[in-house]
Amino acid sequence: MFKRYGDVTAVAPLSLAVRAGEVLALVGENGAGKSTVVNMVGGMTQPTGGSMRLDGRPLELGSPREAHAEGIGVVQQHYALVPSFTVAEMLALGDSGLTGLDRRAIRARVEELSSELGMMVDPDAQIGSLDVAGQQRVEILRALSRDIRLLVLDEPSAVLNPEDTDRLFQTIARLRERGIGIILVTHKLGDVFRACDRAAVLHSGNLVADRPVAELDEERLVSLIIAGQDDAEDATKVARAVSADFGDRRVEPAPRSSDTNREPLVSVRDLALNRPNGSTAVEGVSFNLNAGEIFAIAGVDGNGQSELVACLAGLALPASGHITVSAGDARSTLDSRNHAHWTPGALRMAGVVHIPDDRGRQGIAAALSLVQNLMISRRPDERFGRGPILNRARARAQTQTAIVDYAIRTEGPDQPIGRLSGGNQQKLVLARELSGAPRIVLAAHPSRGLDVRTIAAVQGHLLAARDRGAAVLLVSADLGETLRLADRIMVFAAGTARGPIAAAEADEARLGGWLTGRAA
Amino acid sequence: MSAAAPAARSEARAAALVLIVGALILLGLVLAVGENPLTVLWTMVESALLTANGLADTAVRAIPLCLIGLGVALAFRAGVFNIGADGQLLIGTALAVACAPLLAGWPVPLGIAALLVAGVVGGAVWGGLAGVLKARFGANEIIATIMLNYVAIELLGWLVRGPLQEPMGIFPQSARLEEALRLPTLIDGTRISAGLIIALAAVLAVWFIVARLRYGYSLTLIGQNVEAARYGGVRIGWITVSVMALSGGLAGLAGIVEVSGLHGRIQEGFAPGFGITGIAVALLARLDPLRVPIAAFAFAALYVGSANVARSTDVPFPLVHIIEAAIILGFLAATLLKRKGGAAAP
Repeated sequence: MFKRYGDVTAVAPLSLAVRAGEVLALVGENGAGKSTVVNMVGGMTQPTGGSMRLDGRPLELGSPREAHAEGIGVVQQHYALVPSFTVAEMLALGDSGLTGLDRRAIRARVEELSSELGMMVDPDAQIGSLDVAGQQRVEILRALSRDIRLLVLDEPSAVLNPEDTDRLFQTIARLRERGIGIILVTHKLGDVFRACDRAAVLHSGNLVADRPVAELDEERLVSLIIAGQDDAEDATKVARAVSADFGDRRVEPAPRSSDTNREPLVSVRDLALNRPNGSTAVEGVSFNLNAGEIFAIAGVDGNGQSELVACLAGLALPASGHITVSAGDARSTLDSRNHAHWTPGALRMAGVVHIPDDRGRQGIAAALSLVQNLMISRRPDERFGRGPILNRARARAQTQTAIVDYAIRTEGPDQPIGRLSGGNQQKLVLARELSGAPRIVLAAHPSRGLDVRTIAAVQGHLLAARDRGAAVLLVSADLGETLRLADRIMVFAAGTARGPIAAAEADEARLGGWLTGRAA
Repeated sequence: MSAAAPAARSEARAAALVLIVGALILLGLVLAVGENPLTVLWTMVESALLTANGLADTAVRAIPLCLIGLGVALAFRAGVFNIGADGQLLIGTALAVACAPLLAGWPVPLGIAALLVAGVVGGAVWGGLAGVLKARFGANEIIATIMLNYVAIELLGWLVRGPLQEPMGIFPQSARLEEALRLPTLIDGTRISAGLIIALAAVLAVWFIVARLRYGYSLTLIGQNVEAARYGGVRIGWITVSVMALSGGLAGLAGIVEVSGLHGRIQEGFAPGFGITGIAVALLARLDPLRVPIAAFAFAALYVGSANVARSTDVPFPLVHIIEAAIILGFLAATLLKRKGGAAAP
């Protein structure tokens, strides 16, 4: 089957088969067409041509509902859950008629399914109180609420911490034993070798490989993903270069040229941060963020990292304690205790840029064009016109530059950004925030959901910003990334902050102890 | 922005749906009162568009609708739902009329200009008030503007029986504006005033704000994703207040243009339902300022045609309001259908 949008071929004609009890990895760069394949299989979009069969029966899928009824369950990257519902109510949604709910039957079914699959799910828990992993388990249960033959998981491990990822793979293994075919879309090569039987690689909308995982090694897979082939010499070279770039390189600390008499750009004192629901996420946070360093906050998501970034960006106020940001240029210092001036606009004018962790909610306006999305952030240089009149020509030119520099896959600067794949949207956000010479960079999960090549580029951009003298605050759930990039590391776990320690003194064992909140 | 072919097609489909729904409702109602739909339709079109007088009447009616529609479109673009154009129009007009005695003896263009400014200021204050309530206290602007409509209506009722009443003190209406404060007639033999020029200038001004200014971009961004706007450094509160003031100012301008260009005095109910029709105008124009005058003209024609139909047939005048409602509902339905159809992005 294949899919075209206007003149653009998103997915060239391809043939794929998933056998019962087999896990197929679907890999490829951002915009290679993985999501389109998932959408076609799940009934979200209709193929332009070609056909699908399930157990030999031909399928015409008009909607996700039809797909589910036919036996195809899809767990999307973005969950469609109602926060105020309980797990049981959520699972009843869509299945029940207008008559009352048989809550007891639903609960029994939840408990039966979750124990069968080794998943811990409390049917009475409220969706909003669950963490990402918990919500994902609910989505999986929802997909399994009918007798399905094929389960599609779209980047399930991207948002999970290592422990939850282990549990997810156990669940996948049990589903496989039950004879369910599974398509696993992923960017993590580790997932492929760990959980999958076969790997299908998409490159620019073409299926370039469909092989048993046993016949592949990491280098081959990377070169297939990046270059679309693994035999040509230059492809191997590209792959080596990227994996070297991306692999075990430990970054040298930035040259400490201005060590003498240096004022911290950001100073955080005795901060306590509350979650939106009012509970304390973390307290007693104090650190200085200096020019020319990457300061990383490690830890499992949901321990106050998002709240810290929101405070530093001026989008929220701390529960107690305070933050000061030196505005440079002999201008006054911004202080979070002065509520009227602690705004995103004021901080941005002081040179703070922000790569948000929730791109769809904060970072972009989906219906607007790439050009309009590039103009979202206010900048001290007022690059799109100093006065009230917008300099549209410059915005357009910079969008063109961003498209080239960041290799954004798009029809052009006027395309609505919502039509781009998630990774390409992220690239535009990165281009917008990191261009120019930001003084302070808040980077929340900057490489989440990106392909290997783009991750290498993103990390390169962060290092370049640091070497130019910017202060970079990196929040990442990926310990490897943290260790690779950071000069100093702080860990948020179990309501407290540990560290900071210099990256040179950090090792996985020590950080691991901090992460689980046990070791002192 | 270049509209892709599929988008244009689905927009056309949406528009067609609106027309069909409106026409069906109209047909049913006309049949219900025992008239021939074709006769009614012909009377409507002929009297509003095919005679010089009808065309002039339509243009006269289109002037205030265009100004109000522009204001509504500005606010709606920012996701601020100003339902209070009626109240803003009344307060703006009342303030301008109250200022009129102070302007006696001013040179002609200056006096009129000051009168119009007073109308804008009155409307802006009334609209800005709802904006402040929303930005400062989180009050829902829909509720606030509707409530302020009632306050404005009652306030006008008191004014034309008290401080602003004509010297004779007989009718609940103000004294006539002196000739120097009346907008000149643009085309002899019609009632089309220089207000037409004001309305068209306002179209250009609002287009410039929306398409060329940072302010207009901020409005669009807030309307599309308020979280992204906040994240990017847009001052949401300030924009909310200022766009409500702009929107109210345009409604106030519409009111004083209507009085200075047409009636010559203010009285209760001199602009019946203009504010609500202005919403329909803005929605039909898809919040695009350049399409607002066209939509305003269409609604004005509908209004004039229906008035003539009511005079010469058994079809009652309130029909026009029913058609208006049908078009608004049809538009919303079509928008929803369109959104559902276009949701699946790659």
